[in-house]
Amino acid sequence: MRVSRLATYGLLILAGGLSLGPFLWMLSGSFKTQAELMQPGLGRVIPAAPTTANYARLFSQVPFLTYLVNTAFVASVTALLTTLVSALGGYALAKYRFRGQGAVTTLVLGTMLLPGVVLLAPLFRVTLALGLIDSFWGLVLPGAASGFGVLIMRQYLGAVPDALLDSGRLDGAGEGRIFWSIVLPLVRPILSALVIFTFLGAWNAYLWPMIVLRDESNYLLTVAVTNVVAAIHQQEYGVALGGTLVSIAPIIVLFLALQREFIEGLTLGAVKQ
Amino acid sequence: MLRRLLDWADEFPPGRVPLLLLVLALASGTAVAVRQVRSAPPRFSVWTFVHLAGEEFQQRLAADPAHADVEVRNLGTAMFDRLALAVMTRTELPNLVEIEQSVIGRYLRGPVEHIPFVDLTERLEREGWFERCVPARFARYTVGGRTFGLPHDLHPMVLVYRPDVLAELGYRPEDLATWDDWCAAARRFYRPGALGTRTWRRGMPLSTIEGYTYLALLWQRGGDMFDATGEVTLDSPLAVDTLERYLAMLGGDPPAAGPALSSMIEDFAALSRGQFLGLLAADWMLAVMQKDGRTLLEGRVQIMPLPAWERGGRRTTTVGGTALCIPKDAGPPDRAWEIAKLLYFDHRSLVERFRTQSIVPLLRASWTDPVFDEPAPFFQNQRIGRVLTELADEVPPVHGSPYMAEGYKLLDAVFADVTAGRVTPRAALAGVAAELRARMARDRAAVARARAGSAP
Repeated sequence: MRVSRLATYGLLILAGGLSLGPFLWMLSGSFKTQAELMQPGLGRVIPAAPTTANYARLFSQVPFLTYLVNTAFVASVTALLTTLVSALGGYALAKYRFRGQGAVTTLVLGTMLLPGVVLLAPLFRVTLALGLIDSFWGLVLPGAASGFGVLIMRQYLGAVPDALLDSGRLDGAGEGRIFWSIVLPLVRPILSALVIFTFLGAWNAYLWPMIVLRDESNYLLTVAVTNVVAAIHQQEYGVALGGTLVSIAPIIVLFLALQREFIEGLTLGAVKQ
Repeated sequence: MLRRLLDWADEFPPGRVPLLLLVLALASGTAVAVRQVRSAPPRFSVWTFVHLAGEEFQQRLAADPAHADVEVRNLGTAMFDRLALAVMTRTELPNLVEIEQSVIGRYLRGPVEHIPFVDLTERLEREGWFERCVPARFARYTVGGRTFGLPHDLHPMVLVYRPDVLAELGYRPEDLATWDDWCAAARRFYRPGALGTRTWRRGMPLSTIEGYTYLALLWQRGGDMFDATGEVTLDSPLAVDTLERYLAMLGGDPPAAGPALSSMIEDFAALSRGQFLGLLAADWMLAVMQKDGRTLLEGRVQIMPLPAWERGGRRTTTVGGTALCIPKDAGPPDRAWEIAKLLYFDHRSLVERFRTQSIVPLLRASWTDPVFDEPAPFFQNQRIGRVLTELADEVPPVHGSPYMAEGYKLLDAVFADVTAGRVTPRAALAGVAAELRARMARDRAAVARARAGSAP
């Protein structure tokens, strides 16, 4: 028993070390001088002469705070809108009977089968035609109707007892009121999980923001780190490592703060009550 | 207080997490709304992916009030995807774009009239640019006899070596006139041992997993993946023989070369420890070496022309390059052409480019500038500019093809098998060539079908 526990912890520590290794290297590298970073081999974990010069250059030469605010806005609005649309769509498919319901469900499922990259050119044309190029709405709106979100919400909302909805109707509540005040509180864990999941996806999105955004002051962190930081500080790896670290720090903090809700949402229904 | 706040948050029907994000959205949205002022789109735009070039372009254009409306955008490597999309949808195109040589091929596919860039051939001929520059460098941007890019760079390749190590071995640079001479010296230099340990020594690093160094050596010998008409020549006897000799360098007894180490900096470190006799480097790599290898190599190395394949043969090859192209659908090309010449052939800019990036210009007139005779302290006060410009006319042509990038990929895919001895050079190159010919035949048939379909 003791041996197996030791083995388990040993494996977990090894896996943890392997996962954290690159992050530690990034953290350590962001405090190293260019000369130390350019030494052969992986280098020391603790910098020989720690410096904050990389961060000073990052914040003095690049409007990082602007990119942070842009990213927070786009990621939070995308997460909220996607979750709302998914909940509404999932609720309709789970609780209402209408002609073509099966076809609509299949169509929603079908959207998940298409690789996103295939849709880039047509999506770009539509976004352009709508005048949404170089606008945050060009990022938010195309992702608002998520096939994955609708289907996952449909699955969870299907478990909400119809009797509860009927009793709401008997009490005179409208459909909107029933959805907002009865249904949503019952599926909070999956709503939280979906909202966090979508937020992380939107925060880390790169390709579409890179295509849609033109004005540098509109850039999100991913695009800024890849293009502005890497372009201005070509081969200055300490600045690039610092930029990457600053760009992922907020979501690490957010995830650590909300991990209970996230795990709850993911494991909901895993164990039969 | 916190407890009451959490209780209040719990009353929000979707829960605390969506509420938290709602607060975040409102706060960040307010900041965005206060800040956002939409600027008018530029009247003339130049795109580049190189930061230093972008800065240099901006400075050059800012000095001339006639170009006050030109916006230079450094888009980093994202530029390539953005350009592809802009060309595909014919929207938001730049008036002028700086393209890397390995990427241009994708735009040169299909009939000449479908190529999305302006044909510069007549302008280049009329204004004498082929004579005023090294003509071989235009080959990369030329298909079907038409040139679609204006290059500025020569990128000759040299050997970087430690003179003290070479002298200790009993050689002078002039003794190493051919690759056979080099291999003899490298074999004397060799010490066995696992790579990375203290005892091993090898002549120079050669890639065992990518074909680019092999191609550079093939170009030096006069071969190429494609010929001037665009036909595949990678399975020619010259190409096969060069690959066999490349393998002989790596696998002889003792070997004259070793596998490239995990990064450029590791190669620099091995050279500084006297574990490589030399390193292959194009002009721009000398700038990287001076920056990233400063602590390892400053004041300890010099450069020399590459050994030739045959005595009296070509003493250099080339790696890399960029060109300015004018997108056809971006508007009248005359102004773009004038700005392209200004950005790429302005004497002061060319001199500055050599000073900061070690890039040797293509324009012959610029080589007389004193900057090319300045001693370089990093290279033991050697006049590296002069060494490089004296190699200018020996820089080999590298022929452009729409299938260039695919050819590189196919070669890379098989290269590790070749160097490991699992496939013979002849079979590997024949396989790559056959695949390229099949793709070309398929595309030509598609074009023929399309033309037949649209015929009256």
